[in-house]
Amino acid sequence: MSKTLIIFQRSGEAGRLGPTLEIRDLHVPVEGREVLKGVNLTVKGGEIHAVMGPNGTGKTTMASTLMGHPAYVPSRGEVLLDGENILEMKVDERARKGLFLAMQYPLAVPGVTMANFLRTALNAKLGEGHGLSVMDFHKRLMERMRLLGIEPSFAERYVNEGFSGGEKKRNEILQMAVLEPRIAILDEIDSGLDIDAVKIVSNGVNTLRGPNMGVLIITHYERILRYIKPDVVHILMDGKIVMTGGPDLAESLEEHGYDWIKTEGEPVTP
Amino acid sequence: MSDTLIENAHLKHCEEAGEPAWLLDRRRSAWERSQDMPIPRFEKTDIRRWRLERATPGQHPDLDTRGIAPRSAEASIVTLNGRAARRNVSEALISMGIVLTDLEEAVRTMPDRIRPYLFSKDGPNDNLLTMLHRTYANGGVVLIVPSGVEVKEPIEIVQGFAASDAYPHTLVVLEPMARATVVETLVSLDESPITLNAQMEAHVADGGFLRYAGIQKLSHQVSMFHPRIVHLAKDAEVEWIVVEAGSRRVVTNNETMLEGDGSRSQSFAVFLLDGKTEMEFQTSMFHGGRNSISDMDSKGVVKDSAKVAYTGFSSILRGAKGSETWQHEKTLMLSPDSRADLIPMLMIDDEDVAKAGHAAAAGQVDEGQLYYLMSRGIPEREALLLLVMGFLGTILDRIPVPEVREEIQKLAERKVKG
Repeated sequence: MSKTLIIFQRSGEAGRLGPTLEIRDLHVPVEGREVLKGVNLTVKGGEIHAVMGPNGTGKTTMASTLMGHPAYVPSRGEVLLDGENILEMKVDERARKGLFLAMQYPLAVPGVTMANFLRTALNAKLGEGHGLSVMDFHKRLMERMRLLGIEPSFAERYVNEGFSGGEKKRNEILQMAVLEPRIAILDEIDSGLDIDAVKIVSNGVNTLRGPNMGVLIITHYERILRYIKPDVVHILMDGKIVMTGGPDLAESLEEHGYDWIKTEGEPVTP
Repeated sequence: MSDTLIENAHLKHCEEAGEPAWLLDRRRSAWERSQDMPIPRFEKTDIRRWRLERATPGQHPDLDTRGIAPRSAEASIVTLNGRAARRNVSEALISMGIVLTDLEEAVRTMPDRIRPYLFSKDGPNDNLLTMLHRTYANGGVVLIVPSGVEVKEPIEIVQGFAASDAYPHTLVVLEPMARATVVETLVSLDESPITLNAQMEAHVADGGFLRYAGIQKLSHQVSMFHPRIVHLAKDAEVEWIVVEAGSRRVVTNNETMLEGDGSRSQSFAVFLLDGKTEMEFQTSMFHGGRNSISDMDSKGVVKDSAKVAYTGFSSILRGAKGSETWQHEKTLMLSPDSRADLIPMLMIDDEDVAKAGHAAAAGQVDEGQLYYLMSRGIPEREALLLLVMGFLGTILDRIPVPEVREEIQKLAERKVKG
């Protein structure tokens, strides 16, 4: 009873309160094996949270489940975006509610230009009758590309077709900049990038951070967190968040490695 | 047999119309040869029940063709069942010696110009239907681009069909070093259940370059046999852009005869089939010249209960040393009842081949791509449309006249959505 009331209040005030993503006791099996074993985490507008953890610990399962990849079906738990449970929604509906996932391996879509893709996506989000005209969209796209130091010719290229690793990741950030999500999840946004590319991508994220967007950075390495300063760092191991702390937690991890966590006493739940 | 009566009447009519002796000879010889030739057989499509050999040319109907106005300001021709309804060739092109007219008029006014070309060459796929075409061809278009002339603007041919069967013939001649872009569109002006035995033949002389866009968007009532054949001389080049997006039953074969050394053929083809359309679609490359190069990129979308058998055929003949050929074929099936069979074939008779290979795939839309688009908020139906249009777009984007390109893109969108 009381829960229903809380949800009602939150969705009613979502506009004023800024975005919130609440993950409650999330369990996800993959091919019969439980990979996420009860994850709890809350991200609010203006905050940047990092989820760190060794390989095979459930980081990508978490990102894909949140976004709604059909291969990941939770067995238990809730995910509330601005108070609304999104687990029942299809991927496109979650995106229109304001969720965004910068993918680890963005796919190429030959024949579909960036401009056409992003305009279709933005207008789907804004809804019928509220879409931008070609001119207005073009202005917005060019402005965001300038902000991220992307060449105008990018708009006419096919989505990720023939893009370098760095271009693909920058493209994910560009999409985020154009779609202005309420909650953005960045899955291994620095993987495969050299240091210059990491700086470019990080600058992009830093430019866009603000009270209207919460960010969840999912990463194996601490490197990206030198350029994007997180407010909160979570350690995900064996399907659970075992430790939560400030930015210094990432540094300790860099110093001591993940083995240090295992010996470090009681897990902390946020 | 009853066909003899039609034949006699037709050849007699040609004679009475004053056709030159060489043309009458070619028609008679084709008719004689047709008597022992079979209907072509295909592995996946039995076309015998289509009765294509029974096409009976009728009168030229008197219809309003203003609705199919072409856009090219420089050079265009509109025909109705093979006879010119309207024509427009700029003064500049006339002064360069460009000829753009209908077949009847070309036969009457410049028989010696077309004699070296019209029905002059046998093809590797000659059969009963190609011979009947020679016998009955009663209209069509002739385009001649003289030596060394480069036509910058696309030349547009729009062939409209209505009311009765027809045997339209398109003859394109590029003399040495001539360069031109041709866009030929076949459209229906009514919903008559007609049969067309059509043919396009092009002859590109030494060093010439032809970009040929052939667009078929006839009504779902039409049955058609439609080979297009391009002969390439030394260092001659052709770029094909073929769009097949209509009819009920179609056999089409886009053949390049790479006869000259150093000749090149690049083929882009799209088929977009819906309803109950059945299509036998072939792209063929015959390498006779040394160091000749061919490449085919064919894409298709089939939906509803449409069926297609696509054959990519590359033949490197003995003596065509240093040649290369490559095939890419991909088809998307959008409904459980649609069907696509891809048959890539390489026939190599010379051991000195520079490169040869093929890649063929028929399947559904890529789930990963669909998820990626949907993850940005695009609903599934729209995402699917984007993907399919993107898939076809890499070829449709090559259609030379922007207005024709947009029209085809809209047609494709309607078909994918519908």
